[in-house]
Amino acid sequence: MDVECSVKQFIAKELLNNCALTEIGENQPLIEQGIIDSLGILALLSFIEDTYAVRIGDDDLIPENFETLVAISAMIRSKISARQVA
Amino acid sequence: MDFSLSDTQSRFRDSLVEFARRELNHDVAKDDTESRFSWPRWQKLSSMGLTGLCLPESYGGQGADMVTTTVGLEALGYACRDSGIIHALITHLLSALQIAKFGTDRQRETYLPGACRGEIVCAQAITEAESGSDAMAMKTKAEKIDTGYRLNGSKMFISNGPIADVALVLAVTDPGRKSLGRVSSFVVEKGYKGFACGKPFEKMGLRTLMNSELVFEDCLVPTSAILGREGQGMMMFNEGMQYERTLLFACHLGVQRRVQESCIRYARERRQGGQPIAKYQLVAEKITRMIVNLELGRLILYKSAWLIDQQKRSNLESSIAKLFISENLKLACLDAIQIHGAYGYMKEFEIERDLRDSIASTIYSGTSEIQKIIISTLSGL
Repeated sequence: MDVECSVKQFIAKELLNNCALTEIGENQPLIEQGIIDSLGILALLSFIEDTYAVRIGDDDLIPENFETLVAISAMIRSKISARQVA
Repeated sequence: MDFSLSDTQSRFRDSLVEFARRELNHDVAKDDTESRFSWPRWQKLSSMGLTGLCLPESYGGQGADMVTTTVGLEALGYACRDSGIIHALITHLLSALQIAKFGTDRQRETYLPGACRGEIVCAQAITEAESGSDAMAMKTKAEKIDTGYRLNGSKMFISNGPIADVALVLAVTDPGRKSLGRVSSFVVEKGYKGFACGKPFEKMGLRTLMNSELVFEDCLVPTSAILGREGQGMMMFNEGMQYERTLLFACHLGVQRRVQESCIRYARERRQGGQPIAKYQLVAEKITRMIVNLELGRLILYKSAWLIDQQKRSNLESSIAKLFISENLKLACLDAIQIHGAYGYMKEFEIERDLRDSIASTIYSGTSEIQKIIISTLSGL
């Protein structure tokens, strides 16, 4: 399963009470709409780090990286690439 | 899996216990009665390098990892009878740690060497009169202007507020946004115009810890005062909470151990009906509960510290530790009074102070109710 799909499933299941996947758009403003809130971000970070074996460091903890599904997926992919290079 | 401390950590713990008993326990009852912060005790903590315990060595700190820092703070909580000053120390360390983690090189160079020496005292200002647990409902604003930001608002109950040289102030920079991205953190110095500190509050417990209101009235801070990036405040807050809910409650574990030992000693010495009261099962049950809770609290707390050292997230574990240790510290102190009977109620035995000091532990750093919400959310409920 690709990154975007997997993150979308997590958001739908854990943050939106099992809503339909079609209800989440790839550029939907997740923070702006309160889908990712102060508690939701903690759950999302744990999911990302556990699923992809990457570390989201202090420098990555900026709202821009979590604004949309596209942004989240791009950050994860860059972390995976960095890990593979290392 | 290895539960043992290294020789270095064990020696560190023992030396701090010896140091605290020798240097930190004079006139504590008097300072408590008079609600006074002890600068001599602070200077002694500094002289031991403890004001820079977990801060980077490159800035004069000791660079201790989280497990070692937890060992040290548990030892101080155990051996130092002034819980207020240990709380002040941890508040200072947590605030300086935020600068170390998120600050620019210039901010680190400006504040950390002095913080490590204990010459710059640090505080964090998050809570407001109308936003406690819902911290992100804060109203303090930081409006962007040409030279930086203009702060307006006030912060409430701020630990170290009256003695701090530097406060990390969370303020709304983008009122139009939801919680993430709405607030930013600023390093505000005591001398900034428009920044004022209220008188220390009179409190039920932790009376040697100074808490006050911080007021910002058209307080101008330079652009260079922002910590991290604009809008990063909430995420830094979340990161900081893992450290806070670990380190602050390490000290409480130490207090719990001291209270427990006092109960065991007293229950073995105090005789009623021709035998030590320890032989009465209802007394022994109370102490047994303390022993079980202390051991379990220690396991989850050290797991939280270890996770941080492994560069892993400990939001769940630190919340469990915070909830468990604070609730059981309060319970242990209440039981200790009961076991000591009328003597426990007297100031001379100092257990009543431990009880008063313990009460707020289920409130600060997120109430017990908030911890339960965090734990349930992170467990997929």
